[in-house]
Amino acid sequence: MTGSQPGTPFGVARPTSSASGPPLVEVDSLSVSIQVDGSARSILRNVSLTIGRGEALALVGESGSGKSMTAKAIDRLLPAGARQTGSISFDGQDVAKMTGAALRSYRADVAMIFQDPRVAINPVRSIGDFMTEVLRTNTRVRSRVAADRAVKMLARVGIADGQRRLEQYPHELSGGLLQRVMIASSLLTEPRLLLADEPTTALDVSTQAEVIEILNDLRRELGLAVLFITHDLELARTFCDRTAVMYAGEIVEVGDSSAVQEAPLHPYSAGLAAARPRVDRRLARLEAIPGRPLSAVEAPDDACSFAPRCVHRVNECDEGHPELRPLGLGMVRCIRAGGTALTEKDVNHEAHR
Amino acid sequence: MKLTDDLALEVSGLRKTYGSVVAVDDVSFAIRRGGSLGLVGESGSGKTTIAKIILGLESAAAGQVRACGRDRTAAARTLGERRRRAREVQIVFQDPHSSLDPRQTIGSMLEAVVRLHHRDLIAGERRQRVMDLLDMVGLHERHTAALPREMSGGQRQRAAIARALAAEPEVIVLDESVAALDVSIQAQVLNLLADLRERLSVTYLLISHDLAVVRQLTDTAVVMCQGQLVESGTTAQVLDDPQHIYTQRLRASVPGPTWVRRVSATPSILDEGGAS
Amino acid sequence: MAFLAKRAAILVATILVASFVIFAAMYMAPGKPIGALTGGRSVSPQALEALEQRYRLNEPFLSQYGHWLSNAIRGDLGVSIATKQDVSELIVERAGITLSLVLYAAVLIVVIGIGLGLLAGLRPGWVDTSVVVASSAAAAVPAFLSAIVLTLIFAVTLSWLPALGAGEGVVDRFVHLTLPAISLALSSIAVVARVTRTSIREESRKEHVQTAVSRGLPRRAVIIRHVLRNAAIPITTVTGITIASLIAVSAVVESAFSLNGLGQYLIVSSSSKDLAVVQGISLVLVLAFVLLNVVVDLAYAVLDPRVRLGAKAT
Repeated sequence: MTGSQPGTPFGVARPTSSASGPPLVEVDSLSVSIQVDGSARSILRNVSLTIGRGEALALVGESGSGKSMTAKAIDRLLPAGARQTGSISFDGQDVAKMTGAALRSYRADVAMIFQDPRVAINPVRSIGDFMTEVLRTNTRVRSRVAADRAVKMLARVGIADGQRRLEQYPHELSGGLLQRVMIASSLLTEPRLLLADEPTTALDVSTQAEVIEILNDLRRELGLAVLFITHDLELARTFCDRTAVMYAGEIVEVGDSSAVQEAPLHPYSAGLAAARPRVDRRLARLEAIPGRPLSAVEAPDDACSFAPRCVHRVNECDEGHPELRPLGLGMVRCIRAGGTALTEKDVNHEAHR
Repeated sequence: MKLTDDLALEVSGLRKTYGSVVAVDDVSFAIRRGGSLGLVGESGSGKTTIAKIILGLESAAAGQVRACGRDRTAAARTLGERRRRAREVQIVFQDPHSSLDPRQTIGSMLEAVVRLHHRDLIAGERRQRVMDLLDMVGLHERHTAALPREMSGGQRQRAAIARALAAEPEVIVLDESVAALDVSIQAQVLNLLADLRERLSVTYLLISHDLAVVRQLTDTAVVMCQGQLVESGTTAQVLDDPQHIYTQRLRASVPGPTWVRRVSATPSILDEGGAS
Repeated sequence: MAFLAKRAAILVATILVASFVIFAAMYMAPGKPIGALTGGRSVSPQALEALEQRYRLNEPFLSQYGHWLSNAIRGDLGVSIATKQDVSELIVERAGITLSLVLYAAVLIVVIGIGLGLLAGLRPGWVDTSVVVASSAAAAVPAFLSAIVLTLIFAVTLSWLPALGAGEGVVDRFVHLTLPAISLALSSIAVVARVTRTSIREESRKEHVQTAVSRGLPRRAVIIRHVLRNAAIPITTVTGITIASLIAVSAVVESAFSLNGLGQYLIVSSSSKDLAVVQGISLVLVLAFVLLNVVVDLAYAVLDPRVRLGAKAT
C-alpha cells in the first residue's frame, strides 16, 4: 500500500461507481436569498453540482462562501423565509416537492453531521435516546431492537462499550467520542447520502484523523455518497474524489481533488492552496490573498467576484460575470484560466512582476 | 551580564492542580529576547493554563515565572507593579469577538491603553501614537471610529494585536490567535506577526494546536501532553524528527500526503469491490 | 446523592440565617414591646419586672434568640401579647386561607401563564403579538392596583363575584377566592408567559433542534421532545420562584379583600407590636419560601442531567 497513484490518493470510489446510472444528487442553478430587514439578500448564486452514487464531493470555501447553505438547501433546512430558485433532485425525485412522510423518509436517506457535536446533540437527553429516537419514532422499531442496533453501530465507529455509552449523557463524553456517536446515529437509518459540515473542525488534531478514518471506512463499506464541507483543501484531497471550490455564494472551480490542489484552474483555488502555511517547511513569506472574502450579497452580478483580490486581473474581468465553463478535466469560472494551470509558482511570478 | 538577562520569558518547574487533577506538571521552558516559541498541545494538555499563569490570571501551585529577569509568580500587589507587568507580557486571544469591548470604538480602546502606559503624552501625541499603532497592524485611520462588530474577523484580530502592542510589551502571548481566521486572512495575519517581530524585536509565545502555524511563526517549540512537557527543541527538529510518540502521532495527524497513506493503510472490507 | 446532601445542608443554613435575621430585626425595631404589654398604662415596677421576666425581655440578645429558636423547633412560637393565645394555634387557624389563596394563584399561573407562553412561542403572528402586548401591560400592574380594578369591575359593577371575605365550604371558598387569586397571580402570569415564550423561541433556534429536524423526525416530536423538553428547564425555574414570591405579595391581597390569612395578620400584628406573632408568621413564611425554592432546585436537577450528574466527566 505504498505510493498511492496520483489523482486517486485513496483509491476509493473510482469513477466507475459514479458512472453507473444517473447521479444520486443533482443541484441545478440553485440560487437562494433570505429576507433581511425587508430586502432580499443573496446567499447562493447559480450553484450547480452533482454527486454520484458512492462518490465523495468536497465543498471548499471560506466563511460566508455558501458551502454550509448548499448542504442545508439539499437537506431542506433553509431558514424560514428563504427564497429558492433552481432545482435539487435526489435519485430523480424533486426535493422541493416533497412533503410530510416523503420529506421525512428523504431526510432519513440523507444524513447530516455537524461541526460541533456539543451543540448539535440535545444535552439533556441520553446518548441512547438520541441514537434510537428516529428508529423508534419513524419506523416503529422496538426500543430493545433499536438499542441493539445502536450498540452495533457504535462498535463500527470504534466505541466498544456501547451499552454503557447509551446510558450516558453528552456532557460525559469527549468531543471526539461525541462526534463518533453523531456519525453512528446518522448511519442508523441506512442513508445513501451523508452531508458532513466541517465534521472535524471542532476536534483535536489527532482525533480529527481518527474521525476521518472512520468516515472513510464506513463510506466504502456502506457505499455512501458524501458531500464533505471543509475550509481545508488538503483535507478535501485526503477524503474526496472531486472538489468544488466556492467563493461569494457560487462555485468557481470543480475538478478532481488532487488536480484542484496541485494544478488549480481558478486564481482563488490557487491562492487558497498557497496561503496555507506548511508543516514541512517554513516559508519566507506566505502568499496571502489580499483583501477579505466577499459574501454573496456584496458580490457583483456584472463582474468577476474575485477580481478585486486577484493578481491575474485584467480589464475584461470587470466587464462581465464569468460563466462556469469546462476546461481540461474540470470546470472553472474565470476568463483568464486556460492553457497552463495557475500553479503556486505562477501566482508568485505574476504577483512580483 | 548574566545569562538570564538575555531571556524574555522563563518558566521553571511550573505546577498547577485543580482538586486532584494535575493540569500542569513540572513544566520548564525559556524564550530568549526577540525569540519565538511554540507551545503545542491539544485540549486538556495544560497549555492554556500556562498562559493564564504567565498572565497572572491564575496562580501556580509551585514553580516560577520570570519575565525580563523579574519574578512575576506572586500576584501583583500595587497598581504600578501591575502596569509594569503589563509592559512585560501582553496577550492576543483566539476570538477577538469576545475579547474586545463591543461598545468601545477601536480608537478609544487603543487610546486608553496608551494613556495608561504613557501618562506624560499630551492628547495630540496620544492620537498620533494610536494612528501609528493602527498603521503598524495594517488598519486604516477610519477604523478609529469603528466598533468591533463593524469590522471583519481579520480586522478585529488586527485591532487586538494593536491593543497588545500599545503597551509596548517585551513578550506577546498568542493564544490560538489565528485559529479562528479564514485561510486567506490567516496568511495575512501570520505575515503581519512575522513582520512585527522583525521590526519591534518583540518575543512571541505562540500557543497552538496547528503545527503548520507553529512552523511558520516560531524558532523553538515545546510539546505538551496531559500537563507534561514531552518534547522540546528547535521547531524544525520537533516537527521533522519528532522523538516522543505523542509528537509523532500529532505530526502524523496533519492532513497531507503522508497522512493520506496512513489513513488508507487501514484496509477496508470492500477495498477491492468498490462501492455498490 | 451528594447533590441532595448539599441541598439539605444549604436548606438548614438558610433557615438558620433567616430565623436570626427575623429575630434580630424585631429586636432592633423601634418601640418597646413592653409598651404593647402594658397598653400604655402606668404599672408598678414589680409588675413590670414580672412581665419582663415572663417574656425574657431583660436577658441578653443571644440568649433570647436561643430560647426562641429552641422553642420554635419544638413547635412553640410563644404567646401573643395581644390575645394571650398560642402563636402556633393562631398561625394554624389562618394558614389554610393563605395556602388556598397561593395554591389557587399558582394553578392560574401554571395553566394560563405557561399556556399563553406556549401559544405565543409556537404560533408566531397575531397570537404572539397579542400575548406579548397583553403580558407587557399586565406585568406592570402591582397586586394592590389589580385588586382595586378587579373589585370595581367584577364585584361592584357586574356583581359576578364577591369582593370580601373567604366564604364557607369548598365551593363558596373557591368563589370568594377567585378575585383575590386573580389579582395575586396577574403580573406573575404575565412574567411566566413571557419567559415561556422566550425560552421556546431560544430553544427552537438551537442547533440540536435543527439536528432533530434534519433526521426526519415529525414536527410534533421535535417540539415536544426537543424544544419543550429543554425549554422546561428555565420555565420550571422561573415559575417556581415566581410562585414562591407570591407568599410575600399575598399579604397585600389578603388585606385588600379582607381575608383572614397569615399575611393580613402579619400586618395587623406588626402595627400592634405583637412581637411573638410577627416573628412566628415571618418564620413560617420564610420556611415556606425556602422549601419552595428547594423544590425548584430538585426539579431543575431532575430536568437537567448536567446538574444531576455533576459538571464534567470524560
